Amino acid sequence: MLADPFELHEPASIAEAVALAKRYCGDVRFLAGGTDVLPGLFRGLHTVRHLIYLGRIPELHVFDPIRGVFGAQTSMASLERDPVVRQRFVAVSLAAHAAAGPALRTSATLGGNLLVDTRCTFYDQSRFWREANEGCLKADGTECRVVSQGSRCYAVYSGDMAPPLLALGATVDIEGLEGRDSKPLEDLYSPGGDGRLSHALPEGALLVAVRLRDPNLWSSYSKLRARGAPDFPEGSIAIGIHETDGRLDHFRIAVGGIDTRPLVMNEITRPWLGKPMSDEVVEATVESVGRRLHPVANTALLTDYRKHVVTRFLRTDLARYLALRSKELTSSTPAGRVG
Amino acid sequence: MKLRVNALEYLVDPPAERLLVDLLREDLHLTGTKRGCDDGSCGACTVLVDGAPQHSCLTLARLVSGRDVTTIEGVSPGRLSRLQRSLVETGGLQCGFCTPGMIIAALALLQRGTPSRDDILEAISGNFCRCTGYAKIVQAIERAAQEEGGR
Repeated sequence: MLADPFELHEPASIAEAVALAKRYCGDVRFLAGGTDVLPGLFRGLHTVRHLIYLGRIPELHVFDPIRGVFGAQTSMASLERDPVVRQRFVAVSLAAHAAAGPALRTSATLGGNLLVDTRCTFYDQSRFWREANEGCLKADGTECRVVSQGSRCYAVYSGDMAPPLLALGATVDIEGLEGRDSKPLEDLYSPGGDGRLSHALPEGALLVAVRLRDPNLWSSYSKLRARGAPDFPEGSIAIGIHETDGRLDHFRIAVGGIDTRPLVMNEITRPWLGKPMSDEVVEATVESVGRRLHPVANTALLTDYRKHVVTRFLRTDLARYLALRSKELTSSTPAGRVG
Repeated sequence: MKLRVNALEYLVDPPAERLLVDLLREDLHLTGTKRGCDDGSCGACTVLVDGAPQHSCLTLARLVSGRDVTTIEGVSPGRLSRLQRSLVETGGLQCGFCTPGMIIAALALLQRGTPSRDDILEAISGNFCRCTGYAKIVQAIERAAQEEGGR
């Protein structure tokens, strides 16, 4: 037995789960599929005496791709395989497919992937390894091992699902102590840029569902990793585009695996709304996005390479959109791929 | 709690932190399921839960209460299955540590019909083998699928 003893709670409703979280505040974690929380417990990255299992709550299992509503307990395997998701939300399906191997995707959930703990070479290690290295800012230590004298933690957001959902303009339903709230997915992540916080949910608040409104967006998701199934993204990029009468009315780009939170490039894409997608837009966007990427050496691949490949993905995917549009003269045909 | 493993029903009372892999190996003495990485990257501990592949090292035993678990021991009791025979004949195993997980992952695929080579590569993408270089494992699964299809 590798984990310290804990008590497992299995609430049957969201209200019960939130009440349990309040009762054991400071000593509790929600458990969804377990593929991130359990290894964290084994490694001593989290030490809590209460786990609240969310799998018995029917509302969290809502799966309605026609209305674009996905409960937080939706498995990655469902998102990957469902034909409606594949057709209407291409990037979501591609990202789910790109996460780990089939057995992990059976257990892993949408909510768990969105709230996955930030990762770093110096953090995701055994207790023994970390102690030998005197810890780091995120666990057991006082100094960052990646950026000398760094005052913040640079651990990377390493989920696959946030970039495509951000690119498609998703919103999330949150249940907190004050009741139910709906907000843009961006608000789920800490604006402070410190990797010690994986998300900006207040303690005890529960992610209930993700909502996607527009099924007619063209979308893509591309992911860099050294190996296939076992690797988290070393850099990933998702794009969501729609044009009406030849002018952009939706253009969003989100990047994962580079910074402490998924980066949404709205300040780069917003000025192009109302204009047609063109080679000029592609060039300017690729250059601007490249300037926003500042990976640090806390994953397996070299920082310059990660930045280079992510911008290359962006250029290739935008070019594919342009080629498709000129061929079909339609703005609503979805397409995408995993890089 | 009741747990159904390889079509047999067990009454067990594991503590909350007991993992399915430990319950199988240490309590039920089903040691065919291997414990490898403890973080879901190697696939050696893969079992079927209600017919879907799942990592038993990332599954709390209490959470499979009332569900159907199939381990390597339950695949073809007393004789080699078509896939196991195919692995032996093609040389698709050497040290054998990954083999139970590999077989379970492949079985989940073969239940869905005749797979393409890409389907096979995808199905075992979460299973590490450090001996064979994978080629012979893929070949064995292809061969088993063909035999299954032609039966």
